Amino acid sequence: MESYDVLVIDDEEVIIDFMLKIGDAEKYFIDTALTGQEGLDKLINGKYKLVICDLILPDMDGFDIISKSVKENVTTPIIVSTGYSTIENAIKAMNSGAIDFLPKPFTYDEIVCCIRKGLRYSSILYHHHANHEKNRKDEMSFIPCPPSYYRFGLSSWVKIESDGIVITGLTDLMLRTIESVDAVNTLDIEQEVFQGKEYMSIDCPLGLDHKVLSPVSGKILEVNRNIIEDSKLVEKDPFFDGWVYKILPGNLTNEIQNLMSCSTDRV
Amino acid sequence: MKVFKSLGIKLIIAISVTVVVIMGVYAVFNVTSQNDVLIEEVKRHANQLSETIKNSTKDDMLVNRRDRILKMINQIAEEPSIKRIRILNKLGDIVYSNDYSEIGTKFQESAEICIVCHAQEEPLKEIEYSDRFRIYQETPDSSRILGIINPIFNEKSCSVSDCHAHNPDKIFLGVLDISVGLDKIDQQLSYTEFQIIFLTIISIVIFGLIIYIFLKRWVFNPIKDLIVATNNVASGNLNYKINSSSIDELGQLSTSFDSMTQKLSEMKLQIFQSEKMASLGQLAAGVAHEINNPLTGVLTYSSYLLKRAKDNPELQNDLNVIVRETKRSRDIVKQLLDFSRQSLPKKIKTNINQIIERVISMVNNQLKVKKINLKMQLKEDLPEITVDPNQIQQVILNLTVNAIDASKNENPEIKFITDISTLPAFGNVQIENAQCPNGHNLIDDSYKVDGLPGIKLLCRDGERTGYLFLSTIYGSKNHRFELNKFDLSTVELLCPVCNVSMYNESEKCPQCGSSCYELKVPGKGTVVGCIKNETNFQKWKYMDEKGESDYIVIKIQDNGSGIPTEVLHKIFDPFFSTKGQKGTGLGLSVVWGIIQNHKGRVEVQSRLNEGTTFTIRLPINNNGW
Repeated sequence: MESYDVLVIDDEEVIIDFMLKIGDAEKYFIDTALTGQEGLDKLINGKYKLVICDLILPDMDGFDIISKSVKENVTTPIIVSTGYSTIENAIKAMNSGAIDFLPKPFTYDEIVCCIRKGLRYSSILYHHHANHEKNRKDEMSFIPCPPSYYRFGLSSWVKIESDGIVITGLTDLMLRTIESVDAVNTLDIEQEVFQGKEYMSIDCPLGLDHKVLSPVSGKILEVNRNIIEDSKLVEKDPFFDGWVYKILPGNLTNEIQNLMSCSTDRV
Repeated sequence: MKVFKSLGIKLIIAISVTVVVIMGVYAVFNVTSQNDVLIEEVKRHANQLSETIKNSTKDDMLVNRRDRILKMINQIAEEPSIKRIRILNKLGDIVYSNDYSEIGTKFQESAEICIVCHAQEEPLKEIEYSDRFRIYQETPDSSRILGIINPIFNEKSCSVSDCHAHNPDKIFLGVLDISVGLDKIDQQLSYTEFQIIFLTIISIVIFGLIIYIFLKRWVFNPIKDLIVATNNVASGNLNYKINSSSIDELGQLSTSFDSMTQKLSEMKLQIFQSEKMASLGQLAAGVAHEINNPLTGVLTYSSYLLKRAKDNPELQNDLNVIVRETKRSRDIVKQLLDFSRQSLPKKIKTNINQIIERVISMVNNQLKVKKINLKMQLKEDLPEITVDPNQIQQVILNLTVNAIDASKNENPEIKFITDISTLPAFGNVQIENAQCPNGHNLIDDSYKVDGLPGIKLLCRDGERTGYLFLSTIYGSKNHRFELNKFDLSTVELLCPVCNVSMYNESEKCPQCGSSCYELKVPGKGTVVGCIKNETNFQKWKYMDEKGESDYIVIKIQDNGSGIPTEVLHKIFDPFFSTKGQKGTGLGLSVVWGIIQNHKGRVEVQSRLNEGTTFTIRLPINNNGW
């Protein structure tokens, strides 16, 4: 059986063709599926490092594919990509277990950056599980979230302070999926941020940048100046000194449903 | 007949019948008692007269001077009311009478005059005072006559008299019978009867008029207003208001009718808004998905080409244009999606004057074609504020296009003014977040107050429960009760989630001294207030200490056709348009939504045929209050 890097599930021929071109240019093995059912069959029976899945397909939607693949114990990470890129869909995708959300239309650089990140994530997870099986806890491939934290998708963490203010930052897992951090671009204080909407970006080598979605809605009270001055601090201590924003949450009571407690899951 | 179906006529008929019955009973009672009194008086008089005649003829009787007796009787009978005076002997023979022709005739025992004593076999020895009188008519048409009989008893002097001694064993000697005409009394009684009937008729008319006037004022007019209002509401005009100032039951009915229609219209507006958003959202979702797919093809291939054309600067420039413009299209579609989802503005530091200038450059052509005189009064060094420049541009563009459409043929003019103004927090700032003491969110979207989500509190008054929605505008008095009106002095305010009391016993209302409710505003202290009196006291120490806040004021003035007052309150409603088929009716509702999202205010002043001014206020400090 052939081993592919990426499975692309999309009903648009143009996108399928283009993904194959990227495969040629960037040396990825790419397999494609035009319908949800075909994609699901390939995913369950084949061996892929990463799946890029359209949200709206003729026979089912992307969320169905994620939930069905989870049922079949498929651990392949899935990236959701859609032309219907609302905040609600972004949040829903993150909540259902997708590792990333890529709005269409995208540029060549954006999709390549996304695939690269996904593949790195896939290999980190593979090593993590391998270590886990061999019971070598000392050789962890990434530092998990502290148990009192919450996470939004895989990339952001939220810590709720006693005074109702929240501190947010980037997970170690997310930082390991991007090669290295050249600079972080943040919003100014007093700006409003919304759950599921981009609230910072990270510059990486090769001119690629990664967008990070805000885990909560609210107003930015404070930005960690230290990480802007020394972007490596984020990588060194992502959960404590490398925090990004202090945010006054606007609707935490409802939004906490979209966050996952790190005490119950140790991804 | 329709007129008898009117409530007024029915009430008046009922009242007239009541008056007639009351007056009738009164009249019967009055006439009978008057009759009794008068008859009694006549009887007394007649009795006195008969005693007088009896006594004054006694001496002549004793000496048997018949001529003198007859003469006396005749003289007395000249009095017009006295019809007849006669004296009968024990056998019923008329011995004396003023009517000579009667003298010598005889009454039978069965005659009316005799029957008093001779009804039984054994004649009575004495006659009671009340039995002496009888009232009769000679013929059915003639007037009534009162008859009195006075028995003449045998006395000692009679039996020892010289001329004719009566047997001393006899008790009775004869009867003096006098008849008195009652025609005067009957006349007086019939006059009284006439008076009472006349009075009754006058009373009915006056009663009817007075009651009709008051009924009209207090009942018919309010009912008529209610009918007009109901018909208006039934035909779809939910903005119709009765505005009754009365506090009686009908006034209360009118007030609750007004609040019902207001609630209805708010609900309708919300349904309208959500339906519009739902359909627009579906449309946008479809469009976004359909357009994004081909755009993905364009963007991916062009960016791929751009990568491959690294060595060809000329080609790279052209490809850059394609990539840039495709990205622009992507942003437009994204905006469409964001708008349809009413997603939140993307705010950056913006100079409002620049936006106005950009809008003017967009409509410059139209201004020239319509020969509109443009006036600018923009404040220099206007501070930059954090807004979504695209959305604010859309607001100003919508208002400018409206101003152009409203322009008239003579000297049309549009004026843009920007300025800074300072307003206090009270009455202006919005409470964006409110929590109960246990930290539950109280802001509720289901019911809008002042066009914004309200603060929902559970009311409990004994067994009754309901909800109170406080306005989120600090200092606003537009608090609404859902369903029930509560007794404000005893109602409990509770958190709808955990039922904890919202009252803080240590905070007292300065107006009425009772405990205030307290809302926790995370990061911004607490809002305390009182609902127990009309003043709706509210205090937000945190905001008050921040003092007044600065606003940027944008005014767009035209001297065009103006907006009729009766539709002025509707202009921000979705689908309301004065442009007929030309407009979608969404422009000003979009303006409203955007300014709301920026925590600003938009107001309109307009005079028909004189022009319209839209005033927008945007907070300068986002921390703003």
